[in-house]
Amino acid sequence: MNLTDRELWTLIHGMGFGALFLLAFAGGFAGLYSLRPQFVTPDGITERVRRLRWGTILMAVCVWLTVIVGTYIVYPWYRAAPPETIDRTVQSEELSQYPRYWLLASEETAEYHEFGMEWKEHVAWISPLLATVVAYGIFKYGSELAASKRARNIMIALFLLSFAVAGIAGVLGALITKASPLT
Amino acid sequence: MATQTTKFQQAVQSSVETTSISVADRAVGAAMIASGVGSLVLGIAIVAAEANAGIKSFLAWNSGVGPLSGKTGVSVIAFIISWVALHFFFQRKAVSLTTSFIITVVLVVLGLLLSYPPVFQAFAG
Repeated sequence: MNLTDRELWTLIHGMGFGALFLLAFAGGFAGLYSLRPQFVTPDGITERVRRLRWGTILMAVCVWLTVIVGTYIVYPWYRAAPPETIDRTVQSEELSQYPRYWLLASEETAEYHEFGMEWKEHVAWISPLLATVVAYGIFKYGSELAASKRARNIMIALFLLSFAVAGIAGVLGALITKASPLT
Repeated sequence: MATQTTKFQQAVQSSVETTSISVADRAVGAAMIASGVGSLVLGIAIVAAEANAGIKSFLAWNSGVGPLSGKTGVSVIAFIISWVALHFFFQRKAVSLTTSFIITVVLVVLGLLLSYPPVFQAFAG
C-alpha cells in the first residue's frame, strides 16, 4: 500500500476531519435532544453538559480544519491548470492529473465540476460558522439548556443545519473524488 | 389587599421574566446572527465574483486557491466583525433568542441560495 501526498491529504480532509465531524454529529444530537430534566438526573446533566461542551468544540475545530485543509491544500491540486502541451479536450491519462480540466473535457463529467464542485467549494464554509455558534451556545448556556426548551431546540436546529450543509459538501466531494480522484 | 398586592407582584414578575432577555440569550443571539451575516456575505461575494471580473481577480488572495480564498476570507472576516459588533450592541439593546434565530435562518438560507450554482451562474458577466 502506497499513498501519494495528494491521496494522503485528500484522505485527511475527507475521511479524517470531515468524517469525524459527520460521525460525531449523531452523538452530539442524541446528547442535546435528551438533555431534559425528566430524562437525566442533576448529576447526569452536569456530566452531559461537560461532554457536550468538549464534544461540540472538538467538532467545530474538526469542521474548520476540514474546510481549511480542503481549500488551501487539496483544492489547489484540483484546480491546477495543465501545461499547454496537454490537450484539454481529451480525457487522457496525462490530463487525469488535473481533475478540474479532466472533468470539463467531457460533457458526461462536466457537471461534476460545474455543479458539484462549484457548490461544494462554497457551501462547505457555512458549516464551520454554524458549528462554532453551536459550540459557543452550549458553552454559554451550560446546564441551563436542560431547563430552557427554546434555547435547546434552537441549538438543535443550528446543529442540524450545520450537519446538513457539511453533508451536502461531503456527498458532493465523494462523488467528485469517485469520478476524478486526486492521485 | 395583601393578596391583591401579591398577585400584582407576581404578574409584574411574570411579565419581566417573559420580556427580559438573559445575558446568555444576548451573547448567543449575537453569535447566531453573525453566522448568518457570514453566510450572506459569502453568497454576495460569490455572485459579485461571478458578475464582475475585476472583483473576481481582487478576491484571488491566494494564487493556488484563486477567488475562493477571497470569497471565504471576506465571509469569515464578516462573521468575526459582526459577532464582536453585535455582542456589544446587544448588551445595550437586545432582541429575543427566537427573533435572533429567525433572522439567522433567513440570512443563512439567503447565503445558501446565492451559493447554489444555477443561481449565481445566472449572474455570470
